[in-house]
Amino acid sequence: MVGELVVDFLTLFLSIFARSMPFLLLGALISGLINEFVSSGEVLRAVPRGRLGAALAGLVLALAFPVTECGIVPVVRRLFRKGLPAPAGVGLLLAAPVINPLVLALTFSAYGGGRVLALRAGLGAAIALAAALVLTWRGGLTDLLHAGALPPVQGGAEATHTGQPVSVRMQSALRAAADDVFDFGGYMVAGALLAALLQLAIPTSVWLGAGQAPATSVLALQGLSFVLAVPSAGDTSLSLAFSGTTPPGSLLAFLLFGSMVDVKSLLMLRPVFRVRAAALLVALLAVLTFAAGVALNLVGG
Amino acid sequence: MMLTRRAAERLKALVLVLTAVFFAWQLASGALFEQLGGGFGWAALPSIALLILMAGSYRLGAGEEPPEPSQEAQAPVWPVLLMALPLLASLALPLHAHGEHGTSASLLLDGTLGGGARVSGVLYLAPADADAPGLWLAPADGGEPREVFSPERGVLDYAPAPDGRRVAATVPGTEGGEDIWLVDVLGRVSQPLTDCAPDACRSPAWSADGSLLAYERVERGAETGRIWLLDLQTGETAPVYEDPQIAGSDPQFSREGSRLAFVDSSAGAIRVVDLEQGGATLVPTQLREVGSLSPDGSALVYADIRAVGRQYFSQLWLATLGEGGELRSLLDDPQEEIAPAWSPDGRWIVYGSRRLDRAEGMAIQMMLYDVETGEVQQVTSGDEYNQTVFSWDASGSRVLVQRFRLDEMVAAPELWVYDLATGEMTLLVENAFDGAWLP
Repeated sequence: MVGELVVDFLTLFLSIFARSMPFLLLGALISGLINEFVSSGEVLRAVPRGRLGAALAGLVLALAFPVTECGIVPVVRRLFRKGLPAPAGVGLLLAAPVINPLVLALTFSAYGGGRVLALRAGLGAAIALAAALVLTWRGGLTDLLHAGALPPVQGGAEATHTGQPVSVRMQSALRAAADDVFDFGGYMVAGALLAALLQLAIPTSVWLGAGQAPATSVLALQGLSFVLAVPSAGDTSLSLAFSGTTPPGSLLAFLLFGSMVDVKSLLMLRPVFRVRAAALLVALLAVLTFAAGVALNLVGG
Repeated sequence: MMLTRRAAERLKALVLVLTAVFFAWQLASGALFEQLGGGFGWAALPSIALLILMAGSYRLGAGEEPPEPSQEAQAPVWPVLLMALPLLASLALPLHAHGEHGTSASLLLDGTLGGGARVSGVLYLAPADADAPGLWLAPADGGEPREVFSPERGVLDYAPAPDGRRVAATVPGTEGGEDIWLVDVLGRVSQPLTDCAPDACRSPAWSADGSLLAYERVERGAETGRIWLLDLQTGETAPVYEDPQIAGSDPQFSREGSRLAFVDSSAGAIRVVDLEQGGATLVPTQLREVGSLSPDGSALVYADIRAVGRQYFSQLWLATLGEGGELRSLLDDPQEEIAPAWSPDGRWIVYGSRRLDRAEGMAIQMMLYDVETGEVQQVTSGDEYNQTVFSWDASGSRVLVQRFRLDEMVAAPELWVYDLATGEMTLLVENAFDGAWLP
């Protein structure tokens, strides 16, 4: 029995790792390329300074990055270092896993071009926008971020190889990407270990057996998506298994909450956000997706 | 623990290469990516390429001077060591994966709930004398039986999936009706597959590739049900026939997957649907039991009623399907026969039989019919037990036999295993019924 538990634990851990690592690598590569080929001035010029405008710019940027919740974290940290305003960074962090082209295509493939796709994209963008605005209501970058994620003028550091041959700059980008893999990979592995442990401790049947009530079923599906720690590109096909037996708002809560944050990506926020800001971010997401899910269950269910 | 920058970078390069090896290994073995489903295997190759490129980036560039030892920064080593964990874990896992229980699966829900360990053994419902029996698993190696799934209202029937890792089980609803649940054989993951209550969805049957589940759906208040198909990949479900007049119960796929048979009570027949060519064959029946399809789907053996004088007995019939199909008595000298089951290799049909003249007593005996020669072997004898339900293991070398003691006033069913090679009959579990081998 103990042997089987160990095997199940290792299998769960490896499954989560194998699903997440490709997206971390992709995110780190994008981060490395940004580090080498995008200057702070370009970032500052491209993004509006106002809070709403910046948050909306974050949503637009999200459409361009085909990465999930574990891949977007290094990208956002890199852009913060380049001077990206806080609302834009938070908006990008939350919106990219839900409205990036890859996830939208997978959602279309699974559910067609109807309500699920529209609600996932629309509610995902709305929740990301609301969370970005609330989180940055009073706090500046230094209140939200660790020093390592701040731009040079606020205590961070930036180094590029402008003027060097492209091959040298690519080499430098790859090295920055590799450093990002280790900066975030350790947290990702720790998160995968924790997620595997939670999945063994709390059987999936507990979450899925919570019934059809508008509120409890949303909470249960949020909990399930949080502990499953499946990248947002994978939870769409996964959700098909219980889409027929789950109220629509609860299904959306699963597709939204777990895409934006889970056990694994929560730990990966550690090198970027201060603990208080990360806790507030997760609480905001939990409340907003819960409210959206329950409202949808009551109205559309 | 801290390392100098140069030492840390060497270690990082090593870990990146080892992670690339991890992905290559998983890609080559196929096990993990196959279970992850959803096309995650596609990500392995670019990941390997990126990992190698990133590892290579840690060598000093042509124009880059090595830092002075006094200027070298210190780097923490724990993230690097954590990153090495997956490779170490994958080194440990295969030792169990190909071990005694063949455990190699994930408990992850991945769209098809592809999880659950692959174990070998016999599933059954127990206790037989309980109001709400649960689903149990007796390991093939003779270990302690363990509970797989015991919802409050019990399990009515079930079907193990062809992958041997999952089971579809029928569970009564709390407010009437029945629904089919998907359970992994270790019992740690379960989820409802259907949302039928207050209707009743029951009698699940898996297609050969495990992608479809056929089941009977009886609307609340209706006397007869219809056969529905559920696509496990998409979650879509629909009746096999749009015509609501075509009733259906007790669905069964042929082993190679080309035919679906079920009892159509409205037609008084077993309806065998050709899933490849379309169309259906109706095999008349009064007993309304679906019998057993041959492994290649070309024939059906089933029990049906015949009159002998003023009494009715059941005998076995063989229906060959497709063009030029015919119907004939399976046996030259039929007696009273029940519960035929075709072996996976198509060589044998096992069934229960009792002589009409009761010359050998009242007990129903286990018989083996050789499909090639037409010869019949009597496996059991004596008046101690009735042998009533039979299930073949995947290799066709063992038969699970449900037996009742005849010498007790109130007997609980028992499950025994008959080994064709040795001829031994071994008690597996008492007070249990509806047994089935895991594929």
